Amino acid sequence: MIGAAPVRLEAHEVGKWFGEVVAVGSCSLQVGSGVVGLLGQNGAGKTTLFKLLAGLITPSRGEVMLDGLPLRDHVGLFRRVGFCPESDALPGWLTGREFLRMLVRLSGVDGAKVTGRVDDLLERFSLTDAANRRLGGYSKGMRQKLKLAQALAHDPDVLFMDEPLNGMDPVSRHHAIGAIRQLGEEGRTVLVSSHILPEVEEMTRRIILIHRSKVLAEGDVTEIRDLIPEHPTVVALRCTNPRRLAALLVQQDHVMGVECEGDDRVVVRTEHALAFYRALPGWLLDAGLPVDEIHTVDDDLASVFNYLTGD
Amino acid sequence: MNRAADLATPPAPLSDVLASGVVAAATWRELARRKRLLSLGFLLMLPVIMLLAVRLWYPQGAPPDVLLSLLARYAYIPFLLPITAMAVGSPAISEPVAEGTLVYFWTRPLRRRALYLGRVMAAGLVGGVMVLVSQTLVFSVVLFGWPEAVGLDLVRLHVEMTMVVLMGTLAYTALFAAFGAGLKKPMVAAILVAFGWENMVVDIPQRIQEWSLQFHLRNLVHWPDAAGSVDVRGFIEDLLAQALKREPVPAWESVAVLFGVIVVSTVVGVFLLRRQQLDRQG
Amino acid sequence: MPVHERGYTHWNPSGARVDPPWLVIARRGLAAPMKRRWPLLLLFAAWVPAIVKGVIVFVRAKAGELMDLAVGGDWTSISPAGFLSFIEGQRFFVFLVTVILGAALVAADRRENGLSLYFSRPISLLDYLGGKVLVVMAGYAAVTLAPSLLLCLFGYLVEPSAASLDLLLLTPLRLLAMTAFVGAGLSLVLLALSSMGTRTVLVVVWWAVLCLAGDAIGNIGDGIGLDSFQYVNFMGHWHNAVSLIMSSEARLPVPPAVSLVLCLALMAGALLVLRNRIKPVEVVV
Repeated sequence: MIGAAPVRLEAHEVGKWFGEVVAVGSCSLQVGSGVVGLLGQNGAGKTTLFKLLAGLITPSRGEVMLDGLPLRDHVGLFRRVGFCPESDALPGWLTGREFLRMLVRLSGVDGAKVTGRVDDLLERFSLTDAANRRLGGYSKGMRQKLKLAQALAHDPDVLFMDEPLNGMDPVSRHHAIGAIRQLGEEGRTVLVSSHILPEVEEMTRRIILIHRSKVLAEGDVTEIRDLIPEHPTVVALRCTNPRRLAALLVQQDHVMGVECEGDDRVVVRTEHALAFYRALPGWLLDAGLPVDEIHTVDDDLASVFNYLTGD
Repeated sequence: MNRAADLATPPAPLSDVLASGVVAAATWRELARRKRLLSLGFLLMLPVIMLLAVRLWYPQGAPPDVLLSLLARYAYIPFLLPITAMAVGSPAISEPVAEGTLVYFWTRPLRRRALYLGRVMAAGLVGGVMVLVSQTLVFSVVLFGWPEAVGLDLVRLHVEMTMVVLMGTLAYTALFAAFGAGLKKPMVAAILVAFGWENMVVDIPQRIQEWSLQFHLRNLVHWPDAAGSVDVRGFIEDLLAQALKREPVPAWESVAVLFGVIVVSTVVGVFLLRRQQLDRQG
Repeated sequence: MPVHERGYTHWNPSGARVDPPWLVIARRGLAAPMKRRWPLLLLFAAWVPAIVKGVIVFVRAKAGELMDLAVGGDWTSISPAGFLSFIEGQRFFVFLVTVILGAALVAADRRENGLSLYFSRPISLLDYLGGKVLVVMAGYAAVTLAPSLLLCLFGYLVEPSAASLDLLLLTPLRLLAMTAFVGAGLSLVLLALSSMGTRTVLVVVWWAVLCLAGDAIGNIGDGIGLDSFQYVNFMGHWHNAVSLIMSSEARLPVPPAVSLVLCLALMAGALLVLRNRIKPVEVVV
């Protein structure tokens, strides 16, 4: 399971093919609360898997369940679901206010509360000034904000966000990332599909990686990183006596190689990063060696992605 | 703060009445703001303009009941009703699918039938109202242009024609909306049916002609004799028609067929919408 | 000088022959619909009247004047007037094929911002229009000229008398001139309609009005003895204008010269609209 209990979204051996083309092979997932990133290259099957999980398309085999019920067969479950599509197609003849009113009402919000809810959303996403303008005249960034607003209109527990930061300026992007993280911390299940790894990394460390129609990895980035034996984790340490530190570390278990770089840096390669980190403080204390800085050079998402996909 | 949802009971979808009402209101707003309604409005004014032209320049040309029936037989039934339905009914479902906006309705807790009914009801209402306005204006021209000819028979003819054009609009709208729910090129199918099949089949004697909506629409109107004598068919068709003459189809049967088309098209349309895969959306 | 008005030098390092842009556009416009089965079925259906006519021509040649009693009228004749009647009878297929091929030709380019892609290449407006017009004309010719030419040949083979040498020489030339004029005119008007928006619904509606409503209005006029209603018969005017080429009587109670002037005016109007609407600027949808 990815994320915290309870499990909200489940996929049991879900597959989808279009004629002879297999878009998604057999995938089984369990997603709990928190933000989870769905990553994959173009053509990997990420978008298809995302749409299967969101109930937009029917699986060719297997089932997708939300709270234990098949999503496509129980439309009432969409009371708990918010969906932010990638495409910025909007009904251009409606104003922003009319669009939100319609969708808030269709989300099951009580009639008397609709106006207040819509006003709150417009203010929250800085769209009040453009509220009475037709959507056909909205900029890309405004459309993106409106899409996020309609996804959150009914306070859903489960959110599907497909490329949620598309077209946003840096300031809006920063706010949106913060808002998405906040949603995860509140206990909602937020599934974010993206191919922009640094953005996903800012939102979450929990990922589902799909490659060539199959789920290649799922879980915390560091845990996944630790399970890639062909690429030992590279850890950089900064200290005043690098040679002494290097001599200490080269003798230890879990260390495959040590290099000194410059006057204050030691780079270590280890097969088991977590075990290395657990043992490191003990070694340093016993040797009386202070270290100013420790960081893992390549347990970022991009590195993990590249190692796993081989690109 | 952790949110604990009540996961035990699956939430119910919105009531169909509420959902289809909201969808219909949005669809109505959409149609009212689209340019095509202006074009359609202009088209539906053509019979009015023609009648005005006849009144102004050739008032003795034909009695008003013949004029009304000619308009119904050659303008409304075979042409304006299908065109109206093509303009409002065919895109009712196909357009949100093609434009990528259906996803916003799809991810709401509303039954697919409510979504379908909302869209199609609004389209039918708009089309029906426009056709009704056109019919009313046509009758107004007759009322003021030929006041001496207005009598019970003319009023009856007008009422019959009004019912016929309303039912025709709804029947074609329901049919073309179903095309829109299931076909990638619903306009092509609508054209083939409206201007291909209907025109081909409606004049074939005996049972085959009953497979066209035009036949049943025409069957509901008591045509004045002079209108029936406008015969543009060839010699062989006349011969065949004479040889194959049979009892007229009762009006209730035609009404039943038209209602049947509306109901069956709607049911099929809902079924096709449920099977819709939004793989080109989002 | 604005970028989109700059003349480009076409870069051709390999020296290989490059097809003219209008031909590339036309080929692409025809290739896409022909990949599916149903346009081919439609074309086959459009040829059924020609097959029927061919059978009648054959039987008439063998059975003589007896056939005239049973199936009268110009439609079955293989004279130029007969071919004009035949082409008039193809009205529905002409409408269908032209709307399928042509309704979205410019509208889709405007919707998908394809115009800026086209005109960022060394393509002139003439190339673009030429290619698009050719697509619609090809469709028109497929349901009018092609079956007519084959009927000419068939007619000649069935009855190779001296008089039927016309079928091999003069009549095909007349047909070619006729379909070139009418095809070009219809294509320009349809493309002008297509350029007015980004969706094809309205284009289909208006094309249906133009192609099919004229008959309806004409029938109403016939019913009340008013010939002037035929002035709004769009398709009728095109056939009326070329009735002189086909040595046929006027198709409408309107002088052919008047129809010709109207048709030329329509073509000029369509060209003006196209000149105005086709620009390499982004259409924000």
